[in-house]
Amino acid sequence: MKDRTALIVGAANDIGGAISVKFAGRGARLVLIDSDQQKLEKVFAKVAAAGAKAECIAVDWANSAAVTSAVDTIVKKYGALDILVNAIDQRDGVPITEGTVETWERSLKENITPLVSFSLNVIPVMRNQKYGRIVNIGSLEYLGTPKQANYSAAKSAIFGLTRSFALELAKDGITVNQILKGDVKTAECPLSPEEEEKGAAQLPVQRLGKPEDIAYAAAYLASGLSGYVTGQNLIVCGGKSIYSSMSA
Amino acid sequence: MAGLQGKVALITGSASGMGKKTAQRLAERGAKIVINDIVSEKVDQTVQEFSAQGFEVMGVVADICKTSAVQEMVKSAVERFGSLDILVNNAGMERAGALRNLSEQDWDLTVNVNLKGAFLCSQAVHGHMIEKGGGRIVNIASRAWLGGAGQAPYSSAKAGLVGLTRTLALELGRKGVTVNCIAPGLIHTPMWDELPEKNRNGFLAKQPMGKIGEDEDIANAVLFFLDDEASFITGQVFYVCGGRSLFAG
Ligand SMILES: NC(=O)c1ccc[n+]([C@@H]2O[C@H](COP(=O)([O-])OP(=O)(O)OC[C@H]3O[C@@H](n4cnc5c(N)ncnc54)[C@H](O)[C@@H]3O)[C@@H](O)[C@H]2O)c1
Repeated sequence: MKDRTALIVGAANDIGGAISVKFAGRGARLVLIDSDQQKLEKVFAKVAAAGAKAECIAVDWANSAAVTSAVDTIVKKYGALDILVNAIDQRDGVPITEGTVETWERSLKENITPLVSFSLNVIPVMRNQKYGRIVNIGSLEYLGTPKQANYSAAKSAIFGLTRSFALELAKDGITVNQILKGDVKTAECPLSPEEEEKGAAQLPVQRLGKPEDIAYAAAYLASGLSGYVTGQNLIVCGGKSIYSSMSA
Repeated sequence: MAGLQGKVALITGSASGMGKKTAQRLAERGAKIVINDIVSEKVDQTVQEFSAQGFEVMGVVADICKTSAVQEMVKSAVERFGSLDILVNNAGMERAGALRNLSEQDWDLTVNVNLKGAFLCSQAVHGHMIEKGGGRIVNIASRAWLGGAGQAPYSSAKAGLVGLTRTLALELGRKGVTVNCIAPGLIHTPMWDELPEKNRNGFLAKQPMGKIGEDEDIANAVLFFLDDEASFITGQVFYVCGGRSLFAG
C-alpha cells in the first residue's frame, strides 16, 4: 500500500489507532479522522512521530455535509483516495429494561451512519480510479450479546452493507470486506486482571486479542495483495467463532 | 509481510499449481521448503528449479493418503532441516459426476486425497510444532464445500476439511499452533486455458468480478495466515473467490 492514500475513520479509538500505525509502517499516506478531536490529536502525534506522511481531521460525522466536505478536501489535496477503513465502534451496554427507541437510534447513528456516509462519498472517487479497498471493522458480538442488543444489531448491519457494496462494486476494481474482531483488550473496554485471565482462558488460543492483531488483518485487506477477496468476513478472534454457527 | 527466515515448510501437492506458487513465495521469504507430490518427475523438476534459485529445498515423492509414506516424509524432513514450522495441506484432486454415475472408487480417492491426507499430515507434523512452541497449518479447501451439483465427493471432502480445520484449531490453540482454511474460488490453471471459449464465458458469467483468480492470490492468502503476526487468527474459513461465495446460482 506504499503511497496509497488511506482514510482511517475512527482513528482515535485503540483499534483505529493501531491500524493507523500499521499502515504508516507500510508507507501509506494517511488521513486520520475522528469526531473526538483531543483523542485524535494524541493518536496523530504517535503516527507522526513514527515518520508517517499523515494528517488528521476532526469531523462531526453525524453531519453528512461535514463528511462530504472532508472527503472533497482530501480528494482535492491528494488527487486520489485508495483505502477507506471504517473503525468506529461504540458499545452502549444498554439492557432491555433501559432500552428506548432513542438508545436504539443513537446506536445506529453512532456505529452505522458514518460508515454509510463515508462509503457513499468515497466510492465515486474509487470508481473513477478503478481501484479501491474498503475495510469495515465489525465484531463477533453481532452474534448476540446480553446488554448489547443495539450494538449487536448495528454490527449485523455491516454484513449486508459489506456484501451488497462488494457485489455492486465487484467489476470496478474495488473490494469491500469486513473484519470481525473477537475479544480484544482496548482502552474502550478496560478489564481487570481477573477478567482478562478469565476471558483468555475461554479462548482456544488462551489470550485476548490486541489492537495490533486487528491492524495486521486490516493491512492485508487494504493492500494490493487481496485483490481477489471481496465481500468476505475475516474473523480475528483467537478461535472463539468456532463455538458458534454462522461463522464459516 | 515479515520474513520466514529459518522456518521449515512442508507444502503437499507442491509440484504444480498454487502449491508450487506458494512454495516459491515462501522460499523467497527465506523458508526452507519441503516439496511433496505424488508425481516424481514433477517433484524432481520443482526441486531443480528451486535449487537453481539458491533456495534450501528437498523433494519427497509420497502419497499423502498412506500413513507410512507420510510418517517417512515428515521424518526425513525433520532429519534434514531440524524441525517443521509450517504445513500447507494443498494436495487435492476431484472425481466429479452426477450421483448415479459416481463409483465407490471415485468417492474413496477424492475423500482420501482431500481429507484423509490432510488429517495424516497434520497428525504427523503437529508434535514437531508443539515441540518448538508453535506452528501454522493452512488447509486449502474450496468454495465448493458449500455444495456443488456433480461434486458430491469433492464437496463432502472439502466440507470435512473445514471441520478438521475448526477441530484442530481448538485442539492446538493453546500450543501456539493456528489452523486455518482457505476456500479458493475459480483459479487459473492450465485446464482453464484448454476449455472452449463458450464454457469459459459460462463460468465467468457467474463471477461477480467477471474474472478468475490466479495462483498468486492464493499464495498471498496463505502467507497472510503464516505470519507470526497472525497468531490471533485461528479456526477460520477464508474465501479467496472474487465474491463468488456471496452469489446464489
Ligand atoms: N484450481 C482451482 O480452481 C481450485 C479451486 C478451489 C480449490 N482448489 C484446491 O486447491 C488445491 C491445489 O489445486 P491446483 O489447482 O493447484 O491443483 P494441481 O492439480 O495443479 O495441484 C495439485 C497437486 O497435488 C498432487 N497430488 C494429488 N494427489 C496427491 C497425493 N495423493 N499425494 C500427494 N500429492 C498429490 C497432484 O499431483 C498435483 O501436483 C487443491 O486442493 C484443490 O482442490 C483448486
